[in-house]
Amino acid sequence: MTRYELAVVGAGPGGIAAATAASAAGVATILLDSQPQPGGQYYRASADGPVGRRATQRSAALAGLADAKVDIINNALVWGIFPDPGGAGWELAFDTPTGSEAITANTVILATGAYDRSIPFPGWTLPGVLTAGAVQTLLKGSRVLPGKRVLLSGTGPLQLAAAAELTQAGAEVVAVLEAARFTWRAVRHLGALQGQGSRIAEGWDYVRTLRSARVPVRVGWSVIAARGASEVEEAVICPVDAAGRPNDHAAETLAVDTIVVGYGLLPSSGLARLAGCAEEFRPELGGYAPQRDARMETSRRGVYAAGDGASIGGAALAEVEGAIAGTAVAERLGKLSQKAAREVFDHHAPVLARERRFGRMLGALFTPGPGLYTLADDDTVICRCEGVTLGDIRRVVRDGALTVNEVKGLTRAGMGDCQGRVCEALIAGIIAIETAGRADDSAALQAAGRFTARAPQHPISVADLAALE
Amino acid sequence: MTPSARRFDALVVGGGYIGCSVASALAVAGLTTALLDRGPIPGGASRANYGNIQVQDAELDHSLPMVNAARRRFDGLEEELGRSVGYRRVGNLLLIETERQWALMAARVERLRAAGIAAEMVPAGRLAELEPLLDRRSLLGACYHTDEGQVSPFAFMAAYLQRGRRHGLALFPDNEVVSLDVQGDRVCGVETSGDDFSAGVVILAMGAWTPALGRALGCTWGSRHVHGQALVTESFSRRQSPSDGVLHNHLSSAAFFDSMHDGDPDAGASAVFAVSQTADGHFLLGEAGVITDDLGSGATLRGQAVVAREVLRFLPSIAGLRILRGWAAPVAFTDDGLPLLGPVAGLGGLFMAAAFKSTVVITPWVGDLVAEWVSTGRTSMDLTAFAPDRVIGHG
Repeated sequence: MTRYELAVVGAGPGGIAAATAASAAGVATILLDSQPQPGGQYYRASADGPVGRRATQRSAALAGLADAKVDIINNALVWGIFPDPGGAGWELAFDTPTGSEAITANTVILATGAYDRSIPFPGWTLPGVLTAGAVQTLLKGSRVLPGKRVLLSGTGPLQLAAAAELTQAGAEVVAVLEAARFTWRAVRHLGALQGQGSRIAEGWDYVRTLRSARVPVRVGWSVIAARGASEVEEAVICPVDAAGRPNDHAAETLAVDTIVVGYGLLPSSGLARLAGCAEEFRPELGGYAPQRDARMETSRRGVYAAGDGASIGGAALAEVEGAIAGTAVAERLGKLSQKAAREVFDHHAPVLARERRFGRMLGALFTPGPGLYTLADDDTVICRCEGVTLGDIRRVVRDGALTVNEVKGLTRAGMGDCQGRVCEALIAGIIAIETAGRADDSAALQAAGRFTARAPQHPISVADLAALE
Repeated sequence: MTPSARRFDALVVGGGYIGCSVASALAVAGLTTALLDRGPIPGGASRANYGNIQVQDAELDHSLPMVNAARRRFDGLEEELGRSVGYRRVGNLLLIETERQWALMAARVERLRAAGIAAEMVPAGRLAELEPLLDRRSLLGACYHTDEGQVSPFAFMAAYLQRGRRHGLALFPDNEVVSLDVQGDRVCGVETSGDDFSAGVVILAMGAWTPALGRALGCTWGSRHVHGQALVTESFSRRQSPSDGVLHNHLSSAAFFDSMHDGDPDAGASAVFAVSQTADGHFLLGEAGVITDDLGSGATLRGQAVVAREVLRFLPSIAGLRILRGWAAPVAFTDDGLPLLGPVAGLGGLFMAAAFKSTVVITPWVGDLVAEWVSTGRTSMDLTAFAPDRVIGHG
């Protein structure tokens, strides 16, 4: 097995910054990424190259990475992290188009990014219902339009970005529904906008695009059902109150062929959990994220986590956290003096504080209300991999299964391809509704626990595993 | 005993198969009962088990009357528990690759048959019909047991817990027992990482965690454990035509018995073939085992890879199936192959039930046994050979 001093998992803004900082300081670094080219979801290049502001940022980040002489393996989906039996660090196993491989590294930085938070509603598994992240991948990665008449429903600014991109690509966006109702509590977060000029400008571009295309943005509304024989034909929408409770007396029906849902992001923290990193409960996520110290190190020695994979905050925060983690690794391995490392940390401190403030603002304003978790009915599928419905889950919860792992054992929810990444928080929410009356009851959610992470984190064939020496 | 201790008639420590069954039986018998585990309930190594109802690996000198009585308990069990536990009858093939294994298994078959347990030696030629998926090239034949079965582990434990709760059973997950409360020559409670508990009887059903409690008490409780690893695949029937991907039996290697005789259990990560299929088509692939002090559930890369290689030697046609996840668990055993089952001498009120060969088959029966012991002070089956005292050392 090839040995490195540092393995970075994920080549989005955080992973690129981490690998660049460490490697530039002389740390023998490998960067493993699941995509054909570095950049992650944020810098994902379209077929004819990226355009605009992000293109400049992307070029700079990739140039830095190239200068730092990092070993990069693209198309490498990391499925396992194991303590090195020799005691010197960690083994990482990853799948590639030609089979599985493994490397060892003294230290690891997990920059695994995020995935879309899902909220189930009747019909959400119909073809034609997509997440905002999936739509961006389609548009930017392969310039494929998901449909002709599109409804967007969810919460947060990523929706506006997806709607603007869909409009520009030629789709008819019927409406953008924002479930959050802004109240005066938003005012205390105004300070978080300080120093966010480029973000505000980017947001303004989206709004202008939507305005000129006369796309209605309806605040305080949400999709509550998708209907269609074999694919989406119409969407049922209605106003929701501040707690996300639908008022279905005021429901309307829209003829659409595509519904894009985006209820924010959740950290993709499976590898951290698999490595045994301690996690903390985060109410705004309705779930868990790895604990870290000021230098991004988790509770497991030598394992660091940076960016959205540890805490949702966006690309700029990921970049700073990645740089701090990469610098911390370089210092630990003796490639940087304490003083030099301290200078780097001090340099990043203001941006770190600013971006965390902004992340907290987004969390406070755009966390989906608990009422939205009551949209599903007993026939609605909750675990898509194994086809387990709300009714199946309710039955075992009412029979006494009060933790997500008990529900998993009895229903197979969470036992499929995605290992419960999508349904863990949903099942915890269902248990919380049954035991405490609301899906966001923190004590009930914590009592429901979390799934145990297992290797392989992504399915691999028996043959590929057998070929690993 | 602290005055704040929670009071019960009986405490059961360990929320795996045995603990769930015993706690349920005691609650049904009318005792106020608490079931404790250091982690979740259901918990422990039972969460990692295939759910096989096995008789083939029974210890021959003392255990056959117990195993025979125990396997009959599965007839009518689902009616008794009031819900499905996923019970189904499945055969078992122990695959034989060497003359030495053939001789060992042939000798076992005679003893098993004499005890009334269905077992026969089958030549390699018959395996095509008994198990079409098998690659028979390296095989001399198999030892065939027709009279085995399978439950769904979680449904099985949940059924006991549900029945227990209907009779007032209280569950205390995340309460690790750190000490026994002993007054004079009697156990009268336990101290845990959470609350303290008092009771007239304490049943230890702690599997591989048994010796750790012994150490906490300043004693040596001499069972050890294998850190075993297994994997599960996607359902075959989802990818292929259902008839192609069906196993008709549990499959394992006679090397399990062979390596026991070789006495080389410490030799790094090695795997012995053990494959079952769940009722819904998933293959359970195992198992890699090392004897360590590790009580965790984390797999190792090398262990997972050797399992996959060993499985493909016998089942090459599942090479393209995707593995969904793997896991590990500590499985208790004793050097003499006998369980730790019975009252602990010199400590009134303490009963131990751990380190069984195959735990599922024994689970319903142990519940009956402990309920009998608690209510009458004796057991109708002679447990002398299983007495925990044989492995208990003090100081």
